[in-house]
Amino acid sequence: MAVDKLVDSTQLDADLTSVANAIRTKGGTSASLAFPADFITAIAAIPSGGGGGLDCDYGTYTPSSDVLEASVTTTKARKWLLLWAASLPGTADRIAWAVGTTQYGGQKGAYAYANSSLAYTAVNSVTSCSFSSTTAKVKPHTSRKFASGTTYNWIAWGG
Amino acid sequence: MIFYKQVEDGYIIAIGESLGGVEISEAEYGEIMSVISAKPPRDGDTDYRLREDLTWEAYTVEPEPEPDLDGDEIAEILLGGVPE
Repeated sequence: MAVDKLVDSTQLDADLTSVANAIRTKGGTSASLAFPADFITAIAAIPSGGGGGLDCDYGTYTPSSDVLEASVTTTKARKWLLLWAASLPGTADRIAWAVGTTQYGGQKGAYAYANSSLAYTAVNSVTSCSFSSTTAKVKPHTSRKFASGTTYNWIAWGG
Repeated sequence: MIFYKQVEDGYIIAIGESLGGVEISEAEYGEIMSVISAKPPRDGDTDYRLREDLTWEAYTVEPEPEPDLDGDEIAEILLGGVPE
């Protein structure tokens, strides 16, 4: 049985705004930032090293088979992870997660599918995210999986 | 950019850009990505996993348990439906 939870869009919007504010502060700009392209562009424009760049790790994750849990490696222990699919088949939108040590909502869209139907569906929450030293592991909600061959972008910060 | 592959029990679980797993060259990353993009589709209970030699191995997928929903989650689904 494929099921979903409601999206807590208020919480997600607040979290994304806090990330955008941090990016704007570090980047010395007040420009509006649309997720995810402007986030990426703004972060890339921030000088690194002695320039006082945003302290974050980022990368991609592409599973070879459908997996229940994604694992990414950071340079140091982090507190927050934002992960989203670069592209998805069909009509699915992109998904964003603002993930800390507790469950948060995701944005309207889809990133995975239920085993039983193989149909891409709206997904809205994360079952768990755990940080252990330089490893962050994320599980989608309710038996959904990260889709084989789909590239997921991620940014981790804090800590 | 650093590229990596995650290997477990002789199977490539995932690849990516950043730290993590076994560091590989960009050329190897591209090669593995091409293979992943051509993954045979799942057929019923038969799915495929990627060996380190970049060949696909068929295996039988074990049935997964039904989701364990609490009352609040059930109520949300019944009252609010599923967002698009």
